[in-house]
Amino acid sequence: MKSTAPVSQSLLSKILLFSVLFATILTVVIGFSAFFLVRQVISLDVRDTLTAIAIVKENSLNRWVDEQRRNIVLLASLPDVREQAGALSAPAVSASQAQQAAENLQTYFRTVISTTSDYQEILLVNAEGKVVASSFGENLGKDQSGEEYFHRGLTQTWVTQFYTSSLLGTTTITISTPVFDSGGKRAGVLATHLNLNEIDRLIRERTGLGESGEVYLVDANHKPVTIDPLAAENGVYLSSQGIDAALRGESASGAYPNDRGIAVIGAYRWVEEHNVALLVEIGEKEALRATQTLSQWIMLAGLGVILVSNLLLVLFARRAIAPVISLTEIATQITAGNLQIRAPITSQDEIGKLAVAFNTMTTQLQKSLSRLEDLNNQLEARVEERTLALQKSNSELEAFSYSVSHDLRAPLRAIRNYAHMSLEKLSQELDAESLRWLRHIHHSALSMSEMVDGLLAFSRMGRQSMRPRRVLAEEAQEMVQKVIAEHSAEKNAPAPEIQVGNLHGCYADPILLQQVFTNLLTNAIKFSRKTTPAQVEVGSLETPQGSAYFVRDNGVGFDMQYAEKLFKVFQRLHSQEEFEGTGVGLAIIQRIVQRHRGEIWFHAEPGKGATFYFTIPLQEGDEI
Amino acid sequence: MKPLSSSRFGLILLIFFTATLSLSACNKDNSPAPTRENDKLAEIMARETLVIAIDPHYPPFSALKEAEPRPANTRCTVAQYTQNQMEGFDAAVATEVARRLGVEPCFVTPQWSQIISGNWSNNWDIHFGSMSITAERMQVLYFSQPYFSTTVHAFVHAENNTYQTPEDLQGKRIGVCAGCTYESYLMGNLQMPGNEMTYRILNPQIIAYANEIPALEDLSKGDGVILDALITQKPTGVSAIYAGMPLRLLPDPLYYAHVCAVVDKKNSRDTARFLNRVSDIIQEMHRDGTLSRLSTQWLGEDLTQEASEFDIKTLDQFP
Repeated sequence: MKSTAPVSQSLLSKILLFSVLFATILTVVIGFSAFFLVRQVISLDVRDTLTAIAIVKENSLNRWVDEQRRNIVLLASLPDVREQAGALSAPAVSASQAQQAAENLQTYFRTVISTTSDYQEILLVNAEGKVVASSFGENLGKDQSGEEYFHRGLTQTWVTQFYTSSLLGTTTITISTPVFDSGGKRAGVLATHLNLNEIDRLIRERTGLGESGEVYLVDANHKPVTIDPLAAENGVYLSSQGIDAALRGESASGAYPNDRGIAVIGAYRWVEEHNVALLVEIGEKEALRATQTLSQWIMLAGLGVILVSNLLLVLFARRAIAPVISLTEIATQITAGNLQIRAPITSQDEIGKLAVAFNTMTTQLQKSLSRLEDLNNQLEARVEERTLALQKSNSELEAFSYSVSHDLRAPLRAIRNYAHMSLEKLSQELDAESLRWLRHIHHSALSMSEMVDGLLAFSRMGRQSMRPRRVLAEEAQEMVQKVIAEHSAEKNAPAPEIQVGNLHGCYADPILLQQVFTNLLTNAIKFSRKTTPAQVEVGSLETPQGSAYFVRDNGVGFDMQYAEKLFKVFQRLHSQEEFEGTGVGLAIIQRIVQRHRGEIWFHAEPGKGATFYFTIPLQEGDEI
Repeated sequence: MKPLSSSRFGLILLIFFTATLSLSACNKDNSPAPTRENDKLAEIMARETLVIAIDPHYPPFSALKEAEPRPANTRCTVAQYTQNQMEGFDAAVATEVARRLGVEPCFVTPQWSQIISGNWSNNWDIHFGSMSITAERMQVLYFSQPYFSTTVHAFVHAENNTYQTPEDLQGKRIGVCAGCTYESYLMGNLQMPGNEMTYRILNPQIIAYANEIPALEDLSKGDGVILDALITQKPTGVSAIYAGMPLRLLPDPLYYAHVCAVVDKKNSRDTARFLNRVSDIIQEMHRDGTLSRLSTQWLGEDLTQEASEFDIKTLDQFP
């Protein structure tokens, strides 16, 4: 149970992480593209609106000026005006008549001004360029012959551009038109200076442009066109992307910082007719406020979507993963050995199929496991059976050989004794040949008796109960020294040089271990007898099979191809005449070592000697 | 159902975004088809009248017959004069142009100073009034193919015998209509395309009039009484002499002028189509002899020959 929790958690968290990442990226991408799209659309929309306002403003300015232009033409064509103008210009008119005409016109002009409020001044300039009548008395007599409006007005109806009037000292537009007397003769130029307050009102009147909206005019010299003479004269120089573009004659819209450095969206137009730039601007911040609100909403909505989608995902994932978790648990139990358990099949989807396959697999595993177990049990039973039979035949064989050798001893002793007695008693009577036969009998009986003894000893070795104990290294050393002392000087041969190295301790029956050393050492002494100087070495060494004892001599040795015969009872590689012996010693050694579950092996070469190795458990229960 | 593979899903997403983003990019339109809102000719055809500005007192080119009753079925407004109320060469040409356009001619009579300064505010469509081409007027007006051409002469009182050449009028009081080319000529600043000016009258005292009629009347009052001479186009002066005014023509022409119909340059509607159509009609009238006939009828001689050979398109009025 516990081991599956991290698995499911990590799976769940991976899915969650992925989905959060995906949803976030999606939200951010949608949010940003929507934001920029809307921003662009709104910006374009604002620019369209501003352009429309600019066109409306330009049109209303033009229309207003056109209206004034028609009014002045009308004024100039009124018979009363023509008559008075004629009176003023006629060469043969008296001063008082002229004075009267001027006053009449002045009254007339003032009435027009006060009723319309479109003009600052209405004046009549005679053909020489002198102001002969004006609504503003102070300007009477002033010379206007250098003014454009005068020259143009002589022949046609003329509208000046915005300029600073020498008569008013302020910015204005002047409209002029010729006046003809009643006889059709030109009497002068009728001119009006338009009231810039009206233009200001017309232009600056806001048309739903919000707080930061602004409409203004800039003349070709980058100066503001305004009624305020201070602003016009103070050397103000207006410049911005919009102003500069409009003054180059372009009419467009865009986003740019205005002359005060505030980011605005603006539409600008070059008003050809009046030689001014018309600008309609609104603070970008205000204009795009909707975009900000929208982006906030998108962000909120995005967060909501992420939250809800992940909540749903967690619920869904839990449901989807639950079968996987239970499958994992079941797999763990099966691994632990419970083959009875089966996965529940909760759905028809991939996980359901997995569960089905899993169950099939488990069933088959269970079947094959039980078949294997059956086979194993059968095999074990058979082995036990065979082992019992073998043990029985073995012990029967041993009992047989024991009883045979034991039972053979008495008749053999009789033959030997009688042959011996016959040799002693009949040595005088019998001929030499018979004596040789008798001696042969005796010798053979003796030999046979030794063989039987050996066989008996060998047989006993298999039956004797073992009493293994801990044998210390010093004990082993002592044991070897004792054997050497007992057997080194025998068979009337020179004692070999015997070296005893370090010997390790072990766990063995000390009597049997001593038997092993005895047999190996006597063999070594025996087979090195004919070598000079004879050398025998005893010691311990590390071999691939473990700590092993060894006994080495430099005697006759033997050919390794006969090695198989070596440990068999009565098998000998040398003749009785060469080296006496029964051929039981090595068989006994092998049996002892085997009973200690040790190993014995050797290495030999003819004429160079032989080395025997054997291992004995070092501790109780050690497996060699 | 097959689950959506991730790559296919990605593709769909990509298409979605591409589509969304490209929505903003397709908002182009070509120049609009002509409608009465954006095209002068279309407006005229829809209105079914051609509103012509004309001088009401300018025989033999145009003269108002106010007493004439208006046709019952006229489309002209009460402020406009109908075809039968206006006579003269300009009126006849304008009427024929309207007829060939397939609309009714209606006449209005604004002041000359208003006409030549442009800015008609759509109060009338076209002006037929012996307008000759000058560089100054081209700034505010479009000129049609000229429908006649004439020489401009100085006229003196019939009793005068001393003035024989224009040079003789140096320093004299000379009447002209205000804003006409004659005034510019006297001021020495007349610029006519393809016309090299020789200013032959030096230091004149210019007496400007609203039109030629009062000038003709003033000169008729006696040699040197008010005026010593006046300048006008040949048919106007000759027609006055025929009408009994005591005037004499100085045969040396001062200059030569092509006379055109004009259209306001400043217009909320596109006027190019209209102007080209009028030019085509005038050229047509040159070719089929209509103009020669009308000229002979109203002016006593055919003054259309040179005008037919002039090509107004060489002036490049539509950049």
